[in-house]
Amino acid sequence: MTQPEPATSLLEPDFLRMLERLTLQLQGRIRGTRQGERRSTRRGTGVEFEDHRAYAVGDDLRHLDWHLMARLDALFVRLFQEPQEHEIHLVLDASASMGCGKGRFAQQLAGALAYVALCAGDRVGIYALRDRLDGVVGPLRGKQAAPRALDFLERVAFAGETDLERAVREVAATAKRGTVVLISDFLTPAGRVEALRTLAARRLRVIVLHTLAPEERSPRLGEEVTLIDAESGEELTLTIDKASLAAYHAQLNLLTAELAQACKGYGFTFIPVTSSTPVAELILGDLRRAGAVATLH
Amino acid sequence: MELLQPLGLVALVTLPAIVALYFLRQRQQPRRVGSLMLWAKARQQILRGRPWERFRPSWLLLLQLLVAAAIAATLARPACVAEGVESERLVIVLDASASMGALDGAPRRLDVAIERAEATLETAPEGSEVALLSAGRLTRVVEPFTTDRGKVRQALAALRERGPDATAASLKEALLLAMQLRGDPQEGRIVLISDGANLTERLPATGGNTDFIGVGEGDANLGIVTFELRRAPSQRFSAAVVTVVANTGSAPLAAHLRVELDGAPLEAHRVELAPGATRTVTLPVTADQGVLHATLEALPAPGGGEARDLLPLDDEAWAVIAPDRPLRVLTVGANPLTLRALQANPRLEIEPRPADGWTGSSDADVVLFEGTFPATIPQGRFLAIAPPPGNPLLDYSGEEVQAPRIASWDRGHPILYGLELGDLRFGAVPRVVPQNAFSPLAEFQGQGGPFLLAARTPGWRGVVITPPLLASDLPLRVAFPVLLYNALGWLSPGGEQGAALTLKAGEPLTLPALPGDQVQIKRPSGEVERAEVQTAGSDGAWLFTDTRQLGLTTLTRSRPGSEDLTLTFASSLVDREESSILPVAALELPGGGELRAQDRVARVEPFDAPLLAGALLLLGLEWALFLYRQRRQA
Repeated sequence: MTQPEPATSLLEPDFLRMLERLTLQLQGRIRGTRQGERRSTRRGTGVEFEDHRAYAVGDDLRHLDWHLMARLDALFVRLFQEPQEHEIHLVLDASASMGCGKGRFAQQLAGALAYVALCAGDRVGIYALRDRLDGVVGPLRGKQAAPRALDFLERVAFAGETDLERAVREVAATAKRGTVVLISDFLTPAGRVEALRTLAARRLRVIVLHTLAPEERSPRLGEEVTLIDAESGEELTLTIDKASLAAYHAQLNLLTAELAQACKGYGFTFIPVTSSTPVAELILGDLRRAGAVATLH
Repeated sequence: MELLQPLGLVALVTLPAIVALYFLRQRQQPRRVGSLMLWAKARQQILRGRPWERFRPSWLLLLQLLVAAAIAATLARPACVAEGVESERLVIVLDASASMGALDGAPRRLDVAIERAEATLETAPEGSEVALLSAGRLTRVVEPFTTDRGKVRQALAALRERGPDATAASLKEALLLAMQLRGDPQEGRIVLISDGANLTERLPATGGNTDFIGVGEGDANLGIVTFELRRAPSQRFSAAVVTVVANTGSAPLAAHLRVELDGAPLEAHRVELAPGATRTVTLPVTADQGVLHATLEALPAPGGGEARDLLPLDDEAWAVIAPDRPLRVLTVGANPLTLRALQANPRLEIEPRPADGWTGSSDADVVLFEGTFPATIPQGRFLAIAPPPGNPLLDYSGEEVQAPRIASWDRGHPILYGLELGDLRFGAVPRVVPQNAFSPLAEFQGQGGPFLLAARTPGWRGVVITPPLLASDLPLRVAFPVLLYNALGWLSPGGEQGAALTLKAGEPLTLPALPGDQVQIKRPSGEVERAEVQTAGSDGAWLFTDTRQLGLTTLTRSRPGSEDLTLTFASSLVDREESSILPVAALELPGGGELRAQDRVARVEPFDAPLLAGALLLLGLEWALFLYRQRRQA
């Protein structure tokens, strides 16, 4: 019997149904704590044969390979992969900067990924970051926990300043294993690479979704504007002419390159994301191409 | 193109103000962004190595500058200047004064003026009415309004032939007449063509639609500004001719001055004068008749400059030493003391008659009545002494004033010139009130009434001494014969001119004549004309006014049954003001306005209205663009 989709305004029911056919693709074997549906590095009581080893006193006699004993006249026990559940840590930057043209998108993206993970039987933790770890829900398990996850995400308010390094350090203290999906604009003057280094030190698998609004990627030319920093309230009056636009793009490219370089160095997956892209298109397109999402067969 | 109100361009100071405001950078539409991090770094990158804000082209700024410039231009009232007049009623006023004879034109200024008048005529709209006025000795309507341009061209050709008058002209009078002819300023145009030289009178406000076409360039002129024979009254046989030469230009000039009497040289020498300087040459003359003639011939200027003297009209002057004709005086009822005083003057020819000897008319120059007077005022000139009650000159009140003193008298009047009347003693004198046009020249103190009266009317000229001579010590005074001679001199025709019949060109000459007399006029050019003395305006003298031709003119009066009277007089420019030929660049008008000299008639067509419309359009465009940007930013 299938469970009904959770009632939420964050994601459409059709979209949720489509997400049920997806799973977060994890490269290599996971290292979990509880039995689940993921292949793990842990050998145990699973059904998928892994290897043989010589019998030792105390081994479960049910795992003795009688065929080998008959042929080789030696005792071997059969080893099986023990399927474990995987931990997915969805880390959402909830600072004020994320509220400028990309907050709703980030909520939907995190919700979609959480739903995929829950449907795939993973343990899901959702974290909201500001200048520190500001809210956590989870670990959640099973599709029935999806409404809670989505409800949590829907209630995330984007406000306050960012201290990514500090907040990620607090996340890392909780998330000791599994995959971290970090959704942030990284528009913080310092601590970007340090935050990634913290995650790398935990040997976590990390997917970085660098999320920017369209007007942040391509500001309009020829505008006389007074820009107000959503976090600090600082103002800057300027004319967005060709020269200033070129300089802005150069700075943006520097930021992107810095993040991509750091992610590559730490073995993370780095995916630049624009908030104007429909979430479904993003998940089935960019994330699948990047190998972060796969379809269940 | 010209600016009618150049001060309007002051508004252009708004342009730098707008640019300054632009650089001040107003706070624009605020927009909340995630972070200024990238923008701040980008700005730092842009401003690195650039100490000031770079000018960025802005359509709004450009439109604002255009609007401000258009408004400033509108305030300055720009106008297109096209050749020609647009009026269908055109009055051309041509200056024909002496300075227009200066040879800095083609060859004269007058010729240039006529050429420009013809050019103006050509540019007038087809079918327009044109009138031509000449401002010379008199302002003349040379050609009244006509649509026939051929007539106007002929009139201009006649003016060229006639040449400038050797007199000053009244541009004020000419403009007033032109304004009258033009009527409503909106319906006609006045074109004044002149050099504007030596203009001393205030011009009338022309009410617009008036052009001033200037002619003339130079001011180099050396001229004879005075040439006259001066004879002291007491020295009958001693006279001197006074010649004054002036340099009215702005550069030193030299000339050869020659003075002749009947063709024989009296004096010849070189005259060098600095700008504005004069030289007076006085030469004794012993002849009692003849013609004096002075000429100036330009010489190379001091320092080696070329010989320059632009105005030939003031390079010649004439003076006539007239034969001394005695003044004929008819006395009626004169007492012996009066007769003795008159007979003491050899220049008087006395015909004494008793008190009842007046026949109603006389050929005498002056009639002296003493103690008697006709019932009606006779035509001609008279001196009345103590006319009896019932005369038309005085109204007797019947009262007498005892021992009055003369309290006041007009010392500047020719009759009282040089006389001291304050110490005259009188017995009882009747109190009288003057009648007719008489005005008092000397009066008794208090309510004593007048002592001496004079009047000048078109029909007669008279002097009245009110008290009887024997009621005072006047006949015993030296002042008595002087008073008589002065009075006779003032009364006699031509008496003011003295012995030399030397006139400034344009000054009138009086000739003893009666209505009906024939006068032959022989002009300096040799042309002979005839005229008849008209009744109207005759007071025993005929006023000959056309003395504009320089040189000697001879008038011969013919009267049936009488001997012909011949009078030769000289006309010369001798006018320092008119010898100043410096042309002006503008004529001042009342109220601070002026007429600027132009080379041609310009039709000024202001286009400030379309410019203002353009400015408003640009303003609307700027506003629309601003709103559009506001909306886009919102």
